[in-house]
Amino acid sequence: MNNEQVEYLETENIIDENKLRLIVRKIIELENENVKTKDFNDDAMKKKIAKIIEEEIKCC
Amino acid sequence: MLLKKITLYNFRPFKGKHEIVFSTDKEKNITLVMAENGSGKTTLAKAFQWVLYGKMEGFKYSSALNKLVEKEMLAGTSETVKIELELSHNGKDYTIVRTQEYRKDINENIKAENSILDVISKQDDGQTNFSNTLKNSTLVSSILPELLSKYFFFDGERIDTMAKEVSIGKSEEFKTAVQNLLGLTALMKSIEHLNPNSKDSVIGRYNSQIDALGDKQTRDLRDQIYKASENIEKNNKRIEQIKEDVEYYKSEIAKSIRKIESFAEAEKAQKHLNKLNAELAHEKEYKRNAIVNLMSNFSKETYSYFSRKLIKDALEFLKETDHIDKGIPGVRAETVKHLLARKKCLCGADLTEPTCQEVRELIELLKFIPPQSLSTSIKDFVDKSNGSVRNSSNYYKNMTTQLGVIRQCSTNIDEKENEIGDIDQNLLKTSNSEITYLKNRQIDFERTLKARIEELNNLKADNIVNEREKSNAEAEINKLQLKIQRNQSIEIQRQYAKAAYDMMKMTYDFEENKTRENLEAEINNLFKQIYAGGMRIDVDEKYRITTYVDELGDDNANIDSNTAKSFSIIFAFIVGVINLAKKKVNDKNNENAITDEYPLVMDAPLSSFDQRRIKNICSTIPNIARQVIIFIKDTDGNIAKEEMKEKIGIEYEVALKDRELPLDSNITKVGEYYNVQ
Amino acid sequence: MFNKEYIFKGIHANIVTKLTSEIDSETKFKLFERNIDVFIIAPIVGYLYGTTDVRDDSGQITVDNIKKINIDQLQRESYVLNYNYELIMLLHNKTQDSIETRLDRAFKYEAGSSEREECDKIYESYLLGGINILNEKLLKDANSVDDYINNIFYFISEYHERYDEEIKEEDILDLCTNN
Repeated sequence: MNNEQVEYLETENIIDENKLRLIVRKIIELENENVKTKDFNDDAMKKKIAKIIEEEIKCC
Repeated sequence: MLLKKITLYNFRPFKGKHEIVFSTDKEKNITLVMAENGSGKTTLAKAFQWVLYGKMEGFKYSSALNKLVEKEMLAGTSETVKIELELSHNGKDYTIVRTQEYRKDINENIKAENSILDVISKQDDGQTNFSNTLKNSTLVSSILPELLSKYFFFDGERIDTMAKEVSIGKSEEFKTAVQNLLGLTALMKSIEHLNPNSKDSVIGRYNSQIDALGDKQTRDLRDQIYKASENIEKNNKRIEQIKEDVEYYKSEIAKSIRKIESFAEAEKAQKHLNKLNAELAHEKEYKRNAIVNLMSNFSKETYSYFSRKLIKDALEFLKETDHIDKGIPGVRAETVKHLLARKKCLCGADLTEPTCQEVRELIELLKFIPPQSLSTSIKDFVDKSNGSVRNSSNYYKNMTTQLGVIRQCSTNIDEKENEIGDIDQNLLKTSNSEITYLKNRQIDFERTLKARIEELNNLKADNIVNEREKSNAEAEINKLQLKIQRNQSIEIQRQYAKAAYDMMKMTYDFEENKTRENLEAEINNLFKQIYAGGMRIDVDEKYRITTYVDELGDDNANIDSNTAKSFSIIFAFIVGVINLAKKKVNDKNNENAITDEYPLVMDAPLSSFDQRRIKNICSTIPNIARQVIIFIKDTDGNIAKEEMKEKIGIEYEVALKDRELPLDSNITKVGEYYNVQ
Repeated sequence: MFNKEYIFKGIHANIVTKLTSEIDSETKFKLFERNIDVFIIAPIVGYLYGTTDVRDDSGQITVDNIKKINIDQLQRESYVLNYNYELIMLLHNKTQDSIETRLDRAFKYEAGSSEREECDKIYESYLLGGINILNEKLLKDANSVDDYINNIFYFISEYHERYDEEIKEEDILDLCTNN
């Protein structure tokens, strides 16, 4: 196994179940809110989702 | 959602201002609106569609403005049509107002402006809020999506069309709308936003970010993947279609083969019958010939056969005699006397002179010839006997043989006739042209089937190729990406995003399936109440409905008319959805539940049903929804009043002001039966 | 007997009619082809069964209730007829009459003589008796072609069972040569 493949495998193993669940919940809450208020369009929603993911990963 | 009041201004037959207040009482939750024929019952039911969505479908003329008002307008002036609908939803009160201006020009032509939608709501601080016009339609949609509206504001005249829509095709839209209603929207939207197969989704953007840091090669690979995904999607759709076609053709071909086989049976039977008939004719002919022979023999030879006994006795007798004499064989006394009489001998000698030598010799001969000469006679007799006996020696054998043949033929004939009788005449009713037609049709189908299967296989193969392309491309990209450090963090985010997508999709699929099963159960439950087991339905994953009528059920659903059946299906569908929504509201654990309970607004063709059914329906109606609004023909209305009287909160009557004038109706409150809170 | 036409009358005519008519319209079978075929066999049958009968002169003679056999036919069959005549005359009354008498009857008397007329009467009585027997044996209870065929068979079998055993062909032929 060369370096590249080792890196790939390492990256895959990094999913933290708790983090994931938190991310999912936050996304759903965001979507829920938006269904009610319709404040944001699709594009904005995608950006927000990306932000949620980024922040959660960065934090801990 | 609770409907509070609707106010109409110059809307269609309702000239001037008219209003209906809806019962919001918990016990007496039914609002009954009885309408005379032609007075605008259907119009009222459709009023909701107009105020909420600006739609005016199913009318002969589409102008919303009252005709009398239109007539009375002066040139150069304008009139307004308006409907105000007051309702509450999710704890907030809204007034939805749609206005449309009609202008009459100098030439007396009427022009309608676009209608304007306003939504007025009270904020928490008591202030009224005129919401942003851009968002009004969206807001209305969030209260009640248009797609669902035609089910909740149920138009009885469109029953058949709607029943068809629910049964086939259009169910995809319905599916989406139902899911929105039942709280799966957020999940659906999340999945949509994250979709890894879309270029522009969250994951798609990650991909392009990664790719942007990479090179053109990566971008091309990415494009390949998207293209391959699209192809797979397209192929799968077509594969579904083909599978249905294949089923159809296969069953048709099987049917065809069975039919042709039965014809082949008949052909065989016919050939066999022909053969038997030929054999029968042959036997009959054979018998006939044998009989002819027999008869002929009998007629000509029997005397000879019977003579044998006599001949034996006679010959034995003659043995005892031994008269031998000289004589001349075959010459009798009569012969000589005849010659003498004719006066000419056999040799030609003249015998006229009685004393001539010849005459004297002939007379002398008389002494020696029969009948004088017995032995000659006897000798003749014996010779003849010899001949006769020889001739008749085979008689008995021949006759019995012939008889045997005749009897055998008779037996054969009987057997054949029995065999012929046994052949089933029914089998023989075929026609050659039918067989040819079927065979040709089968050939066509087989050809088409072959082509479809070929296409199917090609598509599957194509999918495999595409899948391979995808995974190859993916692998390539991964290899390329990981070379770049910076990609890593984005990669991590992408991984989480994908994991989140997978998780949500699984949940969604599960929920979706559960929802559908629950819906099916709800509907069948309702059917049980109405039909006591006589009818049930299946809902498939495409939300297509198949109805099963139980012939032997207690309450045979076949008694009802088609209208009634269609109504039942739609009705049950709506009720099913309402109940599910109700359950979601009550399910406090479900964070996704955003729905309120919905009212049931319906245009009920009760008279299409039979008595028992009406009773059942009327007993279930009040329990379906928090609020029930029924528009009904006055004739049907009496039945409804009878069956549901304890549950009626408010009662209205709609009638034409003047029977002769169908353009001017009145809405009158007839009664109010609850204590206003 | 055989030098003028013969006429069947009364019952016998009826029987002859039936014996010579089609038993089956489809197949056109007849028991006997011609009247003369009946005329030939009947005396033999009459003698075999020891049955005689007299002419039925009762009733009017019309064209319908008689059966004729004309001279031409009789002359054509004279070989057989004369032989049968001799045969029967030889055997008639054999227990009582003398050899001489019988031989004379068969061979001596010429046509036209009174003795011959006596003999003719004897022959005729066997003829008519035989016709009655034919009626009984062949026509009774017969309705279909198969019935007639069965009757024919029983009739022949009766003779076969009674006589064929004792009649050996060789014996008869021997009798012929010895004579």
